[in-house]
Amino acid sequence: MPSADSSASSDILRLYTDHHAWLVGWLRRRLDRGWLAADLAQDTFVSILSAADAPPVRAPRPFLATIARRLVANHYRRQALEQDYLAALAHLPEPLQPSPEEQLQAVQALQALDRGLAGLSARAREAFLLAHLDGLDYASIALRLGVTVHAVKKYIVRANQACFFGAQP
Amino acid sequence: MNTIAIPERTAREAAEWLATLMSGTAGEDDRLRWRLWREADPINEQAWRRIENLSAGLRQLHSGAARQALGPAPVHAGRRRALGTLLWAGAAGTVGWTSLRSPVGRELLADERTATGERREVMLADGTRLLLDTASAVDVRYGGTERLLVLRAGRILVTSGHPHGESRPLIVQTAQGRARALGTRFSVRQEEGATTVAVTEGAVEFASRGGASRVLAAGEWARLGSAGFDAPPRALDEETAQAWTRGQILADGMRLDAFLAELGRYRPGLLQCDRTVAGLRISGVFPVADTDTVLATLPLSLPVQVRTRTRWWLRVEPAGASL
Repeated sequence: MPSADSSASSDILRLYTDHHAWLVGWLRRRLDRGWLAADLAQDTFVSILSAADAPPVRAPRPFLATIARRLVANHYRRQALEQDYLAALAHLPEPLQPSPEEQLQAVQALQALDRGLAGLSARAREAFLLAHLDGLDYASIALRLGVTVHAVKKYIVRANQACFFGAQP
Repeated sequence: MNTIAIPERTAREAAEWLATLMSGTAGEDDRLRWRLWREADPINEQAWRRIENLSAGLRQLHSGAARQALGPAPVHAGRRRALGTLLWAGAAGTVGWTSLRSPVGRELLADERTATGERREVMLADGTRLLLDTASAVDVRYGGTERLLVLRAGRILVTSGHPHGESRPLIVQTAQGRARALGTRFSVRQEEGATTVAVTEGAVEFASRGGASRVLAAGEWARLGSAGFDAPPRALDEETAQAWTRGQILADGMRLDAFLAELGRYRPGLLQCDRTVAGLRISGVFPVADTDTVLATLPLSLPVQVRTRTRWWLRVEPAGASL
């Protein structure tokens, strides 16, 4: 219904005008770099805009803080992933130097794997990594994991869904 | 960030299609049903786009480094033993899996593809026959003005069909350029950063993206890199050039590293060549269907040994090198 949509977006507009400055301040106290606070505040509102549920009328600040806290955690996790990944690349016998664009793509994929693989069994996780990162076929993966090819496919389906369509940040 | 919400059911279906196409055993009808599924609903297409986008990032990932960054899998008490030690040795290794690329992406999403070690012939609607070499992928894009084949990976042998009244040119496109059939049988190979065209019958016009072009006659081949053609068309040793179509590698004083790179295309996993033996020369006819045997017999003709690190990681080293 269009009327519901427009009332939802006017709710968000009000949320933004009333609480944006507060949220930036709240974030600044939790982050080591100031500019990041403005970015993550922006991301918080974008995340609300694209979410299915309308923001609550009461207690908007705890609501905003909950989302912002998740984004802060994501940010630090992403930073850790990126640093670990680049450090590992640098320690290879023939170190790789990805371009900034490749690096961005790689870290985004890493983040998706990090989130998606977290809830999976160790076998589903390993099956996914062997297939997607090492290029092994299902028969080879089945051998390695000591399961049937059919089971490998089931693992891959589950892991594909989790990694490609898991919860978005 | 793509923020369109994909319904659970669509996500599940997309995940299943991806798993089916990755299996390497997907048939013609699977591909057709997959295409129909994509067209059936814009949200399906949207879901598939998401897979494509993220796959681009997955292809960038270096396996060993990614495993390090992700850390070990959270171990649930009951599962640890069942997994076995080999798995953990592989998962923990920092250099265990180098330079392999995810199969997902262009190759996977292509219309026709072969798995590693597979060779397959495809007959197209106009009677054109394609022989796909190992790990090859090609899109068939026949339109009103041209019959376009887009080679995404690997190598194809094209034997062009000439149905009565067909006037559309037959073109093979690669990352570097286009090869236009002038009535003919020829092979096109997409390598990293370069395309090689070899003509056995008729002629082919081979043009770079930049517009430089060469006409190759039967018995000639040329190589096009990102900087253009590296040399004028050269004479083709037909026996050697066509060996792959019979499932063979024909080596005549071939460098060992080049030989192993070629052989490695036909087997999963990693096949490395130690620098100290890379320049050894090898000759013979080798069947690609049984790469294990080829490797096992290498020490009979050359002063090398094949060290097995894991089943999927082999290294050819000087004989007598300490383990």
